Amino acid sequence: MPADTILRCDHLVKFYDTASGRVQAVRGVDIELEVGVTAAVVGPSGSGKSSLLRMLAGLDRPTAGVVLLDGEDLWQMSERARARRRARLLTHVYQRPSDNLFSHLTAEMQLQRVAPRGPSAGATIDEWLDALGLSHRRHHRPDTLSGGERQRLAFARAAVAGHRLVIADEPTSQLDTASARAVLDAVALLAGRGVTVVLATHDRRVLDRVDQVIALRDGAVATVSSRGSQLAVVDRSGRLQLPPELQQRFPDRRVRLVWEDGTDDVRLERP
Amino acid sequence: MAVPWREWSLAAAVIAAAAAPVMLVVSADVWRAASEDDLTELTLARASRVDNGAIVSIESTFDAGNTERADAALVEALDAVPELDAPTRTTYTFAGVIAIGEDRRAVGPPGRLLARAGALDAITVVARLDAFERTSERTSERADVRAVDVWVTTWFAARHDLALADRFAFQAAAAPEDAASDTAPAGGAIAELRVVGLYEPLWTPDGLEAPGRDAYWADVPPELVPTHIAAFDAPNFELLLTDEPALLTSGLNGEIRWDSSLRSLPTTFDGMRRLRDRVRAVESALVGTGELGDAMTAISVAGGRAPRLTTDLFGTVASVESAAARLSAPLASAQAVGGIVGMVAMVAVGVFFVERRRTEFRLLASEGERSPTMTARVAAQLAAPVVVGAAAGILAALVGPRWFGPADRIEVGELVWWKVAATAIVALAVAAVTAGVLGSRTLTTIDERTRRTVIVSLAIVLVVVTAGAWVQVGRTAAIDSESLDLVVVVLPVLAVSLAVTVVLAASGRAWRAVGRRGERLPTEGFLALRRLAGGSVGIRVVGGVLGLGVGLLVFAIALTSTVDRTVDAKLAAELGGETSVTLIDDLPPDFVAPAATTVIRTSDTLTRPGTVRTRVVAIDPDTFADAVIWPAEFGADVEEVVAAVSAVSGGSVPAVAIDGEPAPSDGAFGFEVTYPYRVVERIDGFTGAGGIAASLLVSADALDGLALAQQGYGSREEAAADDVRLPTDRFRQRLITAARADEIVAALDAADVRYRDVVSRSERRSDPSIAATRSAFGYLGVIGIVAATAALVSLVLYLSAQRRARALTAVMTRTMGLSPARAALVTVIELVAVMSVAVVAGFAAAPPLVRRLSVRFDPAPDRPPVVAPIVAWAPLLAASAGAVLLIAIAVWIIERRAGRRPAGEVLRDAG
Repeated sequence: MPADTILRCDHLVKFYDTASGRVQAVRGVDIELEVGVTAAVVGPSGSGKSSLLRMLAGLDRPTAGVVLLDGEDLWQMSERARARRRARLLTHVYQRPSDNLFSHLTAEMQLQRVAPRGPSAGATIDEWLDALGLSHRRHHRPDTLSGGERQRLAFARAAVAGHRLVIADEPTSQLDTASARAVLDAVALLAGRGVTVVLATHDRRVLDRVDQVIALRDGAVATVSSRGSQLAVVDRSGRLQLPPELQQRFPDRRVRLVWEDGTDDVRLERP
Repeated sequence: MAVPWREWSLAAAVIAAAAAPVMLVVSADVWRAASEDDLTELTLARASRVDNGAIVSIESTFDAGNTERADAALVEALDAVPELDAPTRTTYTFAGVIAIGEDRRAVGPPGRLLARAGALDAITVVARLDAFERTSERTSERADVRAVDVWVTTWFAARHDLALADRFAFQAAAAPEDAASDTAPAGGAIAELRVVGLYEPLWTPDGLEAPGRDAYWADVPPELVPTHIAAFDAPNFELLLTDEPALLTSGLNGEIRWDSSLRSLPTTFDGMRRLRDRVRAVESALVGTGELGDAMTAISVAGGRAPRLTTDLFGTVASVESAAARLSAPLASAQAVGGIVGMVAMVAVGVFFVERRRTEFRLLASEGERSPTMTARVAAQLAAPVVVGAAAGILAALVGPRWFGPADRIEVGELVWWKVAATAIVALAVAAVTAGVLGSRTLTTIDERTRRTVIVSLAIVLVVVTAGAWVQVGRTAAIDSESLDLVVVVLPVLAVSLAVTVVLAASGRAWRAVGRRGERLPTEGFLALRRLAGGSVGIRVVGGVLGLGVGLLVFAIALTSTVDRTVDAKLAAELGGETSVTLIDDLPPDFVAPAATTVIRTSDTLTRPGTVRTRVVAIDPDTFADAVIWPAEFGADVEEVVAAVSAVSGGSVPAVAIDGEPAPSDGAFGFEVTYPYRVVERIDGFTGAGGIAASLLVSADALDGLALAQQGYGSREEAAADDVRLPTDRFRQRLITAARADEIVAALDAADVRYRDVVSRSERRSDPSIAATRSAFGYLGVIGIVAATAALVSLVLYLSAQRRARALTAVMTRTMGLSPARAALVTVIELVAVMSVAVVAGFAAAPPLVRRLSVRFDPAPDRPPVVAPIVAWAPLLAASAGAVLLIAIAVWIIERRAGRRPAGEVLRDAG
């Protein structure tokens, strides 16, 4: 795994046993994220976003596949080792802002809990409170903070704790536009400091602010888009998943592949 | 880092839950102690104060000075036993030979010199020498021979021609008379006695007390009061009364006896044991090296029996201890069960705690905190409310047995403090460990397969253990309280839990099935049905606990009622009345009974066809109905039964048989002579039945009449003239009466009727085995009440914990067009449905359990009738309906309060 890759998963599969039978939530997902990248996982309801994120966070054991967090397979270690690794490297931000903070601690205390011990802890806390526009709220408890402030504080915890990966499940879904923008600014700030952020989202506002967009459909990765480019996924069976707008150009569901030897370029033509 | 206490609901839940195990564990000891005190009071109330007092006796060579010394020492020793009266001293010789006349010929009956305070004042003196005459006589004749002045009876004086001032010789026996020996004991010292007074005998030739005899003699040991022996036409001994100084200086020997009755009865088990220990200490001191022992030695006869203390107290205490010991085992089992049920409440606290603080636990887990640290954190937070809960549990443990059980006072001293501390510590640990384990798993989810595996495994364990207990309980069928073991006590809890669990699970499926087709219901019903189909685990668990509580309560009440009725019914079949006496002699025609009395005659014989061993019970139709106790379980009116067996027609005896027994409907019974009978009615039981294969009840008059007709006699007298005995003359006779045992025994003694085996219904009813059963299963009812109360409290707290979700639901239902009141009604319908199903399941589980267990505690399983389980449906159903109504009202109030909050505030709070 390249040195600048913080998270990689290979062929992740997840089945759930429910009251009405077995359900496959994730079907062979491959993802690789570098340090400092912001990525959004998008898809309709039931596409497997939350299940994927839980496996990446080491909270749900995959039915098959590998999750490497900073080079180590999360699911080949003991529960205790996994919990330690999670605590050292990863923050999970939940959709509901109140679920991310201790209800009885002030903003400053929330950060003091996770700050590494040392003389610079206070300075680090002050820096991040300032950077995220929360200095004036340092002595406030969560019930007196707005939703956006709570979410920014949740991201600040990750930064102060020195975590390298933040996994957030729809962090802006319950926020107004201004608050959502402020949260995304915080995400960008973290990324600039080398923290990789993965967001599950429906929010179009997020898509414009992230480095990668991973589109899931029916539990599999349909496309991966980077800034200015869009990637289609070729799965292990050699199937190429086209974005919906391209699929419409081929109503017969047949394409002619045209390529030239010696090059990696392939053209799609109607038969 | 502690999470501060801000929530009344969480604090209240912890306090209530911690109170439950402490209360259940501790109250068992209080209950046991109260039951022991109850047994003590019951036993001592029937005990004789005289026989259970202290009788100290010593064979003595009479000596005035040493006797006073011994008296003083004994009085001082008995002062340490405040329950005993001051002792009354009686000095008497052993029965000895009286020799009269110049030739000193021995005459009968034997004589006994006796001196006791007040004796000379309690006789009817007919003649006496006045003081001057006594002194003159002493100085005039035979002044060299010192004589003991005695009072003799007029009968003795007349028989032996004695007059005042006459002298005779007396040689006391050297040892007590041995009634079994034909030889008289060897003689002791000889004394000259002088008649100084004549008194009316204390007896009559009829063998009774003399009319007008002073009540003083009722307190004198009966063996020291003469009675008339008809065979000898004389008393068993002549009582020669004298004053004590004279006897003590007579040079004679005999026995000195101190009688000390119980002045007051201990009211507690411990008090009774302390009394026993103090009396034992006096007993030991009699032969010890202290002043009392030395004083006794000084007046004892060399080579004679050591001084002894006689009392029934030791046996009385032993019988109470034995009964109390029988109580310990089942109550210990019930205590264990109660502790486990209480600990389940603490598990619920742990679960509840994590639910209320899920966010914090999740954050702690994400920070890498593991379950031991979380457990310690929770333990630190719960310590204070657990202590408060333990205090509440102690208070409930003291009050509970007073309200529901045998205690009639509150005794803080009954508490076993180490158990209080241990239970509180274990309760805290259970809650903390539960919260720590669950809290560390808040990040991950348990998949459906694992959840189902765990549930199915637990269910299998529950079914197997319950089935095993059910079989084990059925193996023993006799009233044996040693077998009131853990299995017997645990079975009701297991069986009710299983029944409630199965019913709730089945109802869940039913709701889901009905819920799919509930569109035509009103909106409230439809929504409630959908929620029921969704199956909130929390509500089902609370409902299950409520069902368990109700089931245990119904079971406990039903079993104790059924056991009581079974005992009454079996005693009615066995004894027939308040007292039963086996007669050896016939009752005389002029016998006067103190209360309604009848005699039944029984014979074990064979009936044909089929050669069935049968007990024939022949009743006296004139007296039977008034004297017997005839419970409804016999299945027929006693007057109807008497009329049925008295309706003689044809050449057979009408008989009543027991339903289900193999006695032929038409047949004959007897051995060499057979008597035809026909069964006119079959009932469930009657007095005298049971013990062998079949029983028949007939009228003695009808049976004897048939025998007279068979042999050609017109009347009993004709047959008696030819020395012909009628069938019932050969039957065993048993007298049944409504009188108490002491009353009927006195009447029989007065009529000179011989008897044996006097059995009193009240004594049999207070058998310790019955008390142990009643106490142990009554205690299960306490567990049931606590479980039901815990369920109700838990439900309120559960709803409080779910208030955020429920407020959101209320907002959603309002957007669907329901008013807050109708939205609240949805929740009420949902919860009342679950609780009602659970309560019905608890009710339904009780009767089969009662039937299974009551057979085990049947004191006479081979004797009819069989008593059906008695369940007081009406009051229990009313109480359960009241509880469900309370739930409905509480839920309504909570939901209405939740529903009043503005939607925006709810949604903001949800964010």
